[in-house]
Amino acid sequence: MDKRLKNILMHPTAKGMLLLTPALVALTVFFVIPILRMFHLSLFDPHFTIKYYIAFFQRPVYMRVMWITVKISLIVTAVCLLVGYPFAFILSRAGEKLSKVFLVCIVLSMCISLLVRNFSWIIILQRSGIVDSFLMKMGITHHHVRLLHNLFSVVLGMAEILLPYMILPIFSVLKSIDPNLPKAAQTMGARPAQAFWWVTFPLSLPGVYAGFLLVFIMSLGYFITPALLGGSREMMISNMIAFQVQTVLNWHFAASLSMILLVATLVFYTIFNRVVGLEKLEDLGV
Amino acid sequence: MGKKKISRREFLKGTAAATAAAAVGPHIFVRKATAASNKKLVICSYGGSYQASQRKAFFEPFEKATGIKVVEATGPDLAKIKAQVTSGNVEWDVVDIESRIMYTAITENLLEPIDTNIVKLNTIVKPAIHKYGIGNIAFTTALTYNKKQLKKAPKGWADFWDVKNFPGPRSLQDHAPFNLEFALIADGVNKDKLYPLDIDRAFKKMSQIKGNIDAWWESGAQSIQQLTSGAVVMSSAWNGRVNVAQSKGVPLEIVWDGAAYDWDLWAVPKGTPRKELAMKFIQFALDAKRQAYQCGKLIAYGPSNKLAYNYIEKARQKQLPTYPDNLAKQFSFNSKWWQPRLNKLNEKWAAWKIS
Repeated sequence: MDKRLKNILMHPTAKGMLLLTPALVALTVFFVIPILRMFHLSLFDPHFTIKYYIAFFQRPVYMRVMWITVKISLIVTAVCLLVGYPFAFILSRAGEKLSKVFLVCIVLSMCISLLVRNFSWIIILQRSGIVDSFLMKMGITHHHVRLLHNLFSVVLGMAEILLPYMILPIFSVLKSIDPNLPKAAQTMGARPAQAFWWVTFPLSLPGVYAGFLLVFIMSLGYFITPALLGGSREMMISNMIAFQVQTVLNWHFAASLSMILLVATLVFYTIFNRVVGLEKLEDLGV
Repeated sequence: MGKKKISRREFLKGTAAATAAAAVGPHIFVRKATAASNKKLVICSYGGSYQASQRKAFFEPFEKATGIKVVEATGPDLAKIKAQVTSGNVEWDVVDIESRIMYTAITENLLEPIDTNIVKLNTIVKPAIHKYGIGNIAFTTALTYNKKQLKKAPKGWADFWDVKNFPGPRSLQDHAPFNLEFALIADGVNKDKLYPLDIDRAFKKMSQIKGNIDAWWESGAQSIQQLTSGAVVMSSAWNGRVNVAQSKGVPLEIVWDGAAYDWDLWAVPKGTPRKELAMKFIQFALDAKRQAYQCGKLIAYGPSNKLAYNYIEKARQKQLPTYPDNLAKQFSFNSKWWQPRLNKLNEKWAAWKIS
């Protein structure tokens, strides 16, 4: 190869750029262009109009669905955090072999189709299903318990799928904490709980933030789970978008709904970034 | 229902944008049209036991008779038809659609007019004949119950609303059409004087039963599954699918009183490269004997070809939506009334559901 060309290619920045190219091309083609096209679709019919955005704010049903979306996402995130943190903590303290087995299990669970997992919940939770008949046989209840098609089943179904996204970042941060630090606190007289609360927990917060953000933002766009496991009231904004795309055939309005969801997500991300500071996560390599 | 899946690798801000993109993305990147091949015909229908009956009665015989391969698709979404037609990459040559979907497709200019030089209509019943689609079968949406789950047999929609005498969870299809009619019938409106629908009265009546609707079904298979498993005791369901479940020994019963009948039609998406072949297939599938085989042996829907009845046993005829005694108890679903109001009423439906 020409020496000069080689020099250019081996230059640190040029090399970086070259390595970035495939990703940038893919992002542009499959991501940036579609979003721009959708933005265009939401504003032109065929001439410039903002009527589809006005419709969103004029008709109360859409704001309500947006609120339901945020509410369900927050609950799912909280559940994931409450279940995921202790799990990640135990995992980080477990032996090398055991934690590896668990990590493989977590990653494997992500390979199972979302649909299969949602349908499994239907079988488990439905009337005269496994849980219902167990409760009745044990005499705990004498009536059928309604476990499916409500907020409970939607949160359960979503949290079960999103849990790894909470566990993995928290685990990786917990693992990177020097085990001598809580030990040092204990030699200074702290009880184990105190050492955890004043030393380990604050140090693990970047992982919590990352998990929180991942789970919450992914929840906002959820579609299949509320459709399959939800009842009347668990309608999320993505269901509304699908409804506009498939049933009503109003793609302009669907596009404007999508843009509103995108902007709402970015606004949330920005606020979160201001309050928490996501640079910290990058330092930790999360 | 769309099958959009959340990819595992979306990251942080990417996630939200991708979700938004996923809603329309698939429709933008439709694969480029392959060279028009006359060796195959792509047909899209509603799946389940219904499409299985079409496979036996029409698709396989058509393959044998012509040597042309029938490629099947399932779920004739309007959105997918629109995406194919507007992008100029029509993949489906023939679709089986419900009448109100045909009317919407017509207003969106998505269908080819039926070529009456190829498709012969002289023995087809009048209500099945349209410029852009030919009725294939009449189907009934009826109150259906699981005999094992109910002590008393419900007689009509008023009983569906009567949770005291007929306790247990119920299910209805997740959209406004049909349900508003059922609600009005339950409220005492004469089935022959339903249209124009009294919307406010219908929604008011719907609110009475809302708390007892455990699940809103979206696919025909789902309604049968829920009834079979006992997840619900009563549901609206399509009569043909109920019939197939009955023949497998599931204790389901249809209530013809106050049920709605409507047409499923063969139609051809605009711009298909195999238009002529598509018309030939429709002509093939309208054949009296083939319809008689489908409706008489495989699934209990009503054939659109008058002559088909000559080949169906009397006992079987009594199970079909178009049998005179059954027909008298039902009302004809008015797609024409619905079509221009569909968007507004479906939006109202969504608002009502979450309220």
